[in-house]
Amino acid sequence: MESFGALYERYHSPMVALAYSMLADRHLAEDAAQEVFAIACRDIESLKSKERFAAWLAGICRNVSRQMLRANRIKPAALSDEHAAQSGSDCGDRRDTIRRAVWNLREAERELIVLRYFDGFSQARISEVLGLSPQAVNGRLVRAKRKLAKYLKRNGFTGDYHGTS
Amino acid sequence: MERPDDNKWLDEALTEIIGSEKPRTDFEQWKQQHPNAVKMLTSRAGRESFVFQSPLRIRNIIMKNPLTKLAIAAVVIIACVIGLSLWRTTGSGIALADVMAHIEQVKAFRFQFSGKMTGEDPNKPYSSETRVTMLISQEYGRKSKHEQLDPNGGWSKFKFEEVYTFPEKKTKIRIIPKQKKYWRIEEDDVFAELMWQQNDPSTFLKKILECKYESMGRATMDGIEVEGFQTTDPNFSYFGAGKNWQSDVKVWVDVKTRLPVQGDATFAYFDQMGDKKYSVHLVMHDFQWDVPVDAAEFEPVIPDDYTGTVIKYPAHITEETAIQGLKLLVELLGKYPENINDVDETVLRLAEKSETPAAMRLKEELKGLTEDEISNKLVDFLMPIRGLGRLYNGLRWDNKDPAYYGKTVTPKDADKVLMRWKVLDNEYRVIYGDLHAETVTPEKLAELEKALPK
Repeated sequence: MESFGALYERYHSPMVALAYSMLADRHLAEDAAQEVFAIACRDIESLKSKERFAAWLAGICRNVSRQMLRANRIKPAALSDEHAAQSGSDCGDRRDTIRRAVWNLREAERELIVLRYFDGFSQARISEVLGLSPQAVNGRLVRAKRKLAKYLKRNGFTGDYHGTS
Repeated sequence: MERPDDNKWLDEALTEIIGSEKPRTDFEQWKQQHPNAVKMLTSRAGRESFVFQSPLRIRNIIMKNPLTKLAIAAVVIIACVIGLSLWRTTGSGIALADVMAHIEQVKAFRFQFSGKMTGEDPNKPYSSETRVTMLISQEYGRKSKHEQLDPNGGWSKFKFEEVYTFPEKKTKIRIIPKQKKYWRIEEDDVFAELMWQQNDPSTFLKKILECKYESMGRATMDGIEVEGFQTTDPNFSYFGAGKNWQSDVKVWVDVKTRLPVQGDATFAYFDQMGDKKYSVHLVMHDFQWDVPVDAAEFEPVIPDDYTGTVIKYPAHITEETAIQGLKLLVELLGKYPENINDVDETVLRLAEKSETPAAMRLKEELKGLTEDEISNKLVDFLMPIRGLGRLYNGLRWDNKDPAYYGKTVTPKDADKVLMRWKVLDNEYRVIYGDLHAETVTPEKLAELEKALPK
């Protein structure tokens, strides 16, 4: 139990971030992460290689999040019309544009971006959680950010940006 | 090497939008909220000392009493009913989601992929059958053998090729023995990402999970107890099938190992009048999970007398690449081609018949060259056209709702949509006949498409 507790402490936050990358809702993401660890308890015997625990957990997390999206037929909040309608001010519009840019990335790229900025995870930690090589993480982050920058610049954002709020 | 953190303004924006209060990690609270999970963990930890003995002994004692037997039977039936209703409530998808998690743990596996495409137009009968043998290794890459059924009968070596894909290196190697030829293709970012997904049972399952699906219950397949899942959701999308396609997709999963035994998909394509144009039937079968693999299996063996062509796609194929490709097509053909699905393969055939100055120049340059010399000479020349095809196919695979109207739109049509695709839910990017581009709303796009010549 103690060792599972240690794993929980280590991977809870990345799982919330990963779920958040799919659900775009902080509360749902926390619920998803809770469920991930319950499933991990149930299925731990099916884990064949201890070294792949984090990637295995990430796989469960993606599935749980997909289930939640499907079950609730929810649309990521960042993209919903309701959200867009609420953000009337310029700042709100800017935030909304950035959000939309992030949630329109491919799933694999969005995961990396959210993990990187959700809790400032290092590339080494992201590499561990997603089961990717550090080179792959670096390359994909660069590409994802290039796409974001291009989209945002096309929508009026510039290098002299000084925050959104 | 470029670092991902070079854009300070973007970092600040992303930190502000995504970065938030650190999630509260409280294992004690989690334990309180998940007593069953805790029980499972605790009992597993102590299993070796008592779990396998003590419950058996109790069972022997209580089952001697006939009344107890009846009571137990009733409890079992009630438990089954409750279990079934829970199964329905939570959706059998949880089991299917587990299957994906199981596949992700397998280091290497083999399977076969068979496909048949049938043209449904009685005036143009068409049928094509292919089969692919796949070996997928998390560590080394992917290897596949592709065969096509000879119209004269037999699989022979009518169209045979070996393909090695290395997604991490963004590289694919195709070896075509009949032509004594090989292609080394360095993919763009989008297709490198697709390498992970094509002919992959995980992707197949993921697409089912994204749709509304149902359990078909249990059955026996090749002596294995399996559970089937089915979706006929019109949103199912695979190899670009989507709008105007009707899908019937099934997968059978081994109840014990929770790994797929067979996948089966039938797609029918209907034209705008609702007539079936063609159908595709795909079967994934003969799965062998956790097979031992050797690095040497993934080293392409290319005989010395084979000639090769190297194609290096730019990392990013963009709208600008597509526009360059369309421009080149007009120079060569004098008009836009009717479709751009396989444009890189058909453009030379079309250019052969064309008499534009660019086509005449090209024909002059290629005169007297062998097929291999032509391939190598045209690698750079054809790149924008290949890029256009790439962009379009990538958009299809990505469900970005692309459309192309080269059949009716000409280079002079500054106000007619030549090509479009979805950027966001309420935004489409449009390239017009005169090759200028802009972003429009879906409503504006509907107006533009309504005005297109029929």
